[in-house]
Amino acid sequence: MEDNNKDKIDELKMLWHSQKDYINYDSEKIFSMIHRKSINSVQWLFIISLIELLLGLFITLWSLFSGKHYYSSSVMEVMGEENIRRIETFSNTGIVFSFVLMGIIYYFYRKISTQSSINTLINSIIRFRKAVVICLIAIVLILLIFMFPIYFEIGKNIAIQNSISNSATSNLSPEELQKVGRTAGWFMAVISVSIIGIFFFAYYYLIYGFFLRRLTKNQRELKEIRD
Amino acid sequence: MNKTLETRETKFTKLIENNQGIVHKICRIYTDSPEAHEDLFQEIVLQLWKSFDSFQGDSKFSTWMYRVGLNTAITLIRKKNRTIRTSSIDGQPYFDVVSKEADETQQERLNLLYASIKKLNDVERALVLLYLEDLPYREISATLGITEVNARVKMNRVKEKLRVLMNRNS
Repeated sequence: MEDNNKDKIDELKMLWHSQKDYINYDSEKIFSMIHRKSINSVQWLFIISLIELLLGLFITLWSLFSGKHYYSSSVMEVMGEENIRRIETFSNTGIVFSFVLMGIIYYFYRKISTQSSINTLINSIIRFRKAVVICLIAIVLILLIFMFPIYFEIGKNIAIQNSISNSATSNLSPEELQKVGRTAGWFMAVISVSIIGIFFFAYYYLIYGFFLRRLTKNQRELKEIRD
Repeated sequence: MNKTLETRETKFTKLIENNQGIVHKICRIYTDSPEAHEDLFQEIVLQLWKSFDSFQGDSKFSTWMYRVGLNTAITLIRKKNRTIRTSSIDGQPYFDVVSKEADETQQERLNLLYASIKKLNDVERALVLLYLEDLPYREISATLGITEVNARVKMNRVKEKLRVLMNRNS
C-alpha cells in the first residue's frame, strides 16, 4: 500500500518535471517589468495608515489654527469657552501623537521583508497592522471619552436656549431648565459618541478584514501545522 | 553609476529569463486566468528586483526565487475573484506547458494535477510546489518557517489529500 502510494507520488514528480514549454517572456519584457509601478497590498496598508494619520493631523491642525475663528459667535456660545479650550488642548496632544504613530507605523513597515519565511512575513504584516489598529483604537477611545462631556455641554446649552426662546417653555424655573438641559445633554452625548464609535468600528472592521482575511487564514494554517 | 545600474539590470533580467519557469509555476498554482498570471508574474519580478541587492548568493538563486515568489503570491497579492472556472482555464493553450512530443494523456494528467493543487489552501500549495520541485525538507521548512518534522508530517497528509483529489477529479 505504502509502495503503491510512493509510486504514485513518484509518477506525479515525473509528470511535474516533464513540463517544458513555459510561456516565455523575453528579456525586453522582463526588463520593462522592473520599471513598472505597482502597489501591492502591504503598500496599500501602509498608504491607508498614513492617510488616516495625515487626515487626523490635518483636522487637528485645522481646529487649532482656523477652528476658533471659523466658529460663528452663536456656535461659540453653544459650545462654551471651556469646551473650545478643551478642544485646543486635545488638538495639541493629537499632533504629537500623530507623529509618534507615524514613527511606529514606519518601524513596523520596515520590518516587513519578502526574503523572510512565509510564516515570519505573515506575522510581521499582521503585527504591523495590529500596531496601527491598536494605536488608532486608543485614539478613538480617548476621543470618545474626551468628546462625551463636550457633546453633553453642547446638547444642554442648545436645549436651554431653545427652551428660553420657545414661548411654551419660556416660563420654566432655572432648576427646571437645568433638568431639561441635562436630559438633552445626556441624549446628545450618548447618541453622538455611539455614532462615532459605530463609524470607526465599521471602518476598521471593513479595512482590516478586507486586507487581512487571507493572511489570518494562512497564519492559522501555519499554526495548525506547528501544533 | 548608470553603467553599474545597467549591468545589474542586465544581469538580473538574464537570471530571471533563465529561471522564469519557477515564477510561472508559482503563478499557475495561485491564479486562475492569464491576466492574473501576468499580474502576479510582474509583481514577483518586481519584488525580486527590489530585494536583488540583499541577495547574498549564499543560497541558490532558484531557492531565493521560490521564497520571494511564494511570499509575494501568498501575502502581497490579493486574489482576484474571477468568474472564469479553473478547470476551463487549465485547458487553455496559454497553460500548455507539456512538451510538444508528450501525448494527450500526459497533458490531461498534468492539467488534472494543477486543478487538484488549486483545490488545496495557500500553504499546502506552497508545500506541494516545493516538494514536486525536489527541494530538500530543510529548505522547504525554512521557506515556510516551520520545523523540518512539521514539514514532513504535513507533506504526508497533503500527499494523501492530493491523491484523493486527483481520483475524485479524474
